Amino acid sequence: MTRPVSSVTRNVRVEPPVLGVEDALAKMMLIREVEERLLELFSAGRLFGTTHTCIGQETCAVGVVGALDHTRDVIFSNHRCHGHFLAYTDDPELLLAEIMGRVTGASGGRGGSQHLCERNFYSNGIQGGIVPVATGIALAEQHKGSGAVTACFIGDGTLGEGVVYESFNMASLWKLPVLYVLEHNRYAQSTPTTRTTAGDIEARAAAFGIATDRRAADDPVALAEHMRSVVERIRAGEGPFFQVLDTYRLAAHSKGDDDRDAEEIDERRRADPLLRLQHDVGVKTTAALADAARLRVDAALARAEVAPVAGVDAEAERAAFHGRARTLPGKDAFPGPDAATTLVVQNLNAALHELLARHDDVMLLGEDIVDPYGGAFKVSRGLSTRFPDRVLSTPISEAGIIGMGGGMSLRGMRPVIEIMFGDFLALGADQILNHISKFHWMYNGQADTPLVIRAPVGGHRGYGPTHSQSIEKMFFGVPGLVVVAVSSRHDPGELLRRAVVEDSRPVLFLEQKILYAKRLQTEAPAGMVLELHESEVGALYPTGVWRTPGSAGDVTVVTYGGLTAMVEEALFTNFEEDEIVADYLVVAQLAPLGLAPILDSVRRTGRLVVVEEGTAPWGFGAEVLARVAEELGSGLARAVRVASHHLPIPNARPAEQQVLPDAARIREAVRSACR
Amino acid sequence: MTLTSSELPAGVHAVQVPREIVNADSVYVVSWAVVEGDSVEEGAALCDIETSKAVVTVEAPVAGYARPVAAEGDEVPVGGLLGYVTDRPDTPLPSAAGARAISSASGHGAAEVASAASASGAESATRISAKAQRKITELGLDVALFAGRGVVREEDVVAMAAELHAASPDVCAPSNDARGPSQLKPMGTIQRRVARVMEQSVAAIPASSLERMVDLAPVRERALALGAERKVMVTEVDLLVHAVAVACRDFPEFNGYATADHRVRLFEQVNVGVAVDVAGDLYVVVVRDAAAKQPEAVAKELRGLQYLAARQRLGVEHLSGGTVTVTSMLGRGVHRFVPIPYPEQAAIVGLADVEPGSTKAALVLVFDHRVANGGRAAAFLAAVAEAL
Repeated sequence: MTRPVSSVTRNVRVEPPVLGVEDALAKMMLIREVEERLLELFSAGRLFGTTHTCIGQETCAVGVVGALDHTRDVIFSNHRCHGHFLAYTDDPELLLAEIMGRVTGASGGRGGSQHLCERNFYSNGIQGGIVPVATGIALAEQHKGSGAVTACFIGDGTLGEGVVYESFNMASLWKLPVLYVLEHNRYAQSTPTTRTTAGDIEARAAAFGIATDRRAADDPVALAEHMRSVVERIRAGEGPFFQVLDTYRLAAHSKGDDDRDAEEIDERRRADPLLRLQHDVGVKTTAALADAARLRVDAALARAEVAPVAGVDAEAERAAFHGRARTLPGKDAFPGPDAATTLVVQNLNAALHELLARHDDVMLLGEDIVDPYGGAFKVSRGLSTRFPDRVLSTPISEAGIIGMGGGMSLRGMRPVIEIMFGDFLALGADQILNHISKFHWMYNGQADTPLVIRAPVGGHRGYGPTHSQSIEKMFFGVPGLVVVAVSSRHDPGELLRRAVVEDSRPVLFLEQKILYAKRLQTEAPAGMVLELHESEVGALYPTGVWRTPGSAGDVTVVTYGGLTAMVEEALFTNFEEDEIVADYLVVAQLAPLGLAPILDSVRRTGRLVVVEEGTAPWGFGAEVLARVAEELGSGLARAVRVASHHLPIPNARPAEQQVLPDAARIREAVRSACR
Repeated sequence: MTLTSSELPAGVHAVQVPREIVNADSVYVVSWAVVEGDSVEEGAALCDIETSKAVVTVEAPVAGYARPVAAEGDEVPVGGLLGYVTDRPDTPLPSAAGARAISSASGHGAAEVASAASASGAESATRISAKAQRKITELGLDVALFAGRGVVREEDVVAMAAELHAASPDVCAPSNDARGPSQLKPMGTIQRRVARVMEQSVAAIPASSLERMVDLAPVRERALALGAERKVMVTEVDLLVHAVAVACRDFPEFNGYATADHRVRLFEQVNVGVAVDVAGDLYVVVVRDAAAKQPEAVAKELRGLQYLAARQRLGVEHLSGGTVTVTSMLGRGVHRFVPIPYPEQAAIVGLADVEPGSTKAALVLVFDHRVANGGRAAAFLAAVAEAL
């Protein structure tokens, strides 16, 4: 029988005993009761949003989860996660309150049906996207030597997602302790698997050298016994396992969206494993179990209904977001005089050496980063020789490695992912958008993803349309993500160190590739001095403000990344020949953008020029201008953006130069702002 | 302020404005013969700098890679940094802060004037735009006027000029000048240096002058004979240089100078400076230890120096170290002139025709009355005439 649930004891489940029939049936009936009650509540209009029930598939949840060690094993589930969650937590209130949007829900009412987090249980609603995350969790647990096995639930429809195979590949290469469970319910939402899936399902994993098994999920006790042996095999270090469970979803994909053949469903209903189990234990026990399940769900619903509904205080959220980064002296993010001779590439490389030497939880993943190659831009050179276990060259699988970094960071590691060219971030966009940047918030603060994704961006090297972009624009508006761009006016290595160990938020760390061979700029531009705005005094990635003493400034010029030399060349001429004195701001944290230093400067100058290498529409400059205009209204007399032309970046040098901004255009923009 | 080698990283050699340049406190960088990273041999020409007297070529102190710092047109003080020669093309250079400290102009050529009120560096720095800088030059203003004024634009320079004019109408040509319209033109850089030297001399040296007649006929004969014998062109001036050097042996006070604290510095070696006019610019080339040389050797040396002067290729060694000076107005239809001695010298000896067609010439001595009185000076001049 199930234990009584209280808020104190619900987290204390330890090594499960061998699953008995009655116990298994009780769990399955609880799951069934919750799912059916949810459908009723939706029908009655008492629930908001959506849900995906697992009616008919309860055996999978109970059989697999019953074989796991709940004190250490990890579960990553998908959109159809209620059964897995209940089998793991045995707590209907956490689930019901969550779906009802209550603060007492598993994710504080933020996540809802598909986005649950409780101890070692996670779920997310993106098909396939969860697979590298789960695989990364397995890598972290392997590195920590915890002995934990990570179970990842997918459906047959998930096989259409390529990132699944990236994950299989790396799990097998590195013999990761991960169990992939495919619940084959024969439909991808409404489309039969026969129409979506060619070839052999098991062979997909087998092709990567992963051990596989396929069986019907009709008996939870037998399944649990089988899964127990599978889990022990994984725990023994024999690498990943792919388990296909044949099952059937008796209810709709979601709510009422069922176009399947009614006869087929009826036939399946008669073969419902739950009915068979009830038949086995007899009417009396079944009735007792049904009463118990109903009573527990009644009680859970009653408690959830009186709990406060989740709400959002935008200001508090902002503060909480900033609170996840440590406060450090902003001035230390600028290079000291002894850094004058250091190249940016050396500076970053030294920082990575130091990070790996000092922090055992720092691990590097990237393509071609192992020596002697040391990464396409040599930032990672020498690292794998010193730290062979923590510097891994990966397959060409950007989505896979970014997702794995997300999973590793969920489990307390500090992964640094090197993406060879920033352009390839597009391949990993789902991981950044739907997983890494969301976990902390949608799991109500129960998880952190302190990973850093390093990416060289920008042009001037003749690499053409797909290797030269300033792609950061695509990620500026992602809540939960910090976007940092290094410049040679900052200390890039120190910014990187801060991103890795002082910031528990995920950081997209951009390195404009023309910077690598540049030296750190330790001396202020001619005639200017560095000031730190009061808002940046404790900032991890402060905006540098260079001003000309004795002048209020005629114009505010804002830039970031690799354009500093060009902007300074322009400003020099702007001063010498046009007699325009600029306040010169170099931003490091692009998103979320701290506006105060810019705003204060424009308050004095009334004129604003924003220089970026990306294209102008919907870009950095657009955001800066919009926000300054919102704040200052007519106090902003003139504003000009300098950016690349709205085109892909050509390969030919003269054409590339025409597309990208240059000093002459910047000078002209400053002059025009001051006219 | 200079960099000593101990302050420089290994493999980095500073190239500074040579200290041996006399009578100049700063030079202009005319042109670089090399660009950043060029491989240079020891002694290879790096850049030309313009002193009060000449364009001088600065050479690489060692073999390596040229790393210019001062820009063309920059004014750099004597001992200031022109650039570096490094043992690798990418050897890191000392921070620009250091470079700026020893160079009056920044790497960008931005003029910065330390504040008169405070020496606390950038906080009180003055930033003068290039446009303003040109205006300052055009109006002949002193850049120090703008110290501590923050940003200086062209309009500020014009305003300053107007202010100064209000206070002292001589500074700028007034618009209602009774003498009619006028134009204020800057002197050429070399002439500016000459002007300073002359001001310095006149301010410091109470000079007196003596003159005696000499017959140049025998001198010319001797010059021709010597020239024919030694296959070299010998002039009266060459012989005069030699004669002055020889006379100085017996009159050492004319081969030295009076110090401000009323002592006399006497040089052992007689280095005779010779004024040379090249296209209106005055250069003083130096024949070292002229007393120890034969007249024809002196002549040969002077031909070489004149050749270099005509091609603006005089080096520091050709222009520095003079202890007494010789100048000539022969052939210019002048029968009398009073040259001005160089600062830190006691005597200048000149030669001018008395009248056209005559072989008579005027031998002029202008001397510092502090080192000698008239009688002694007359005796010195007689000794020169004798040696001639």
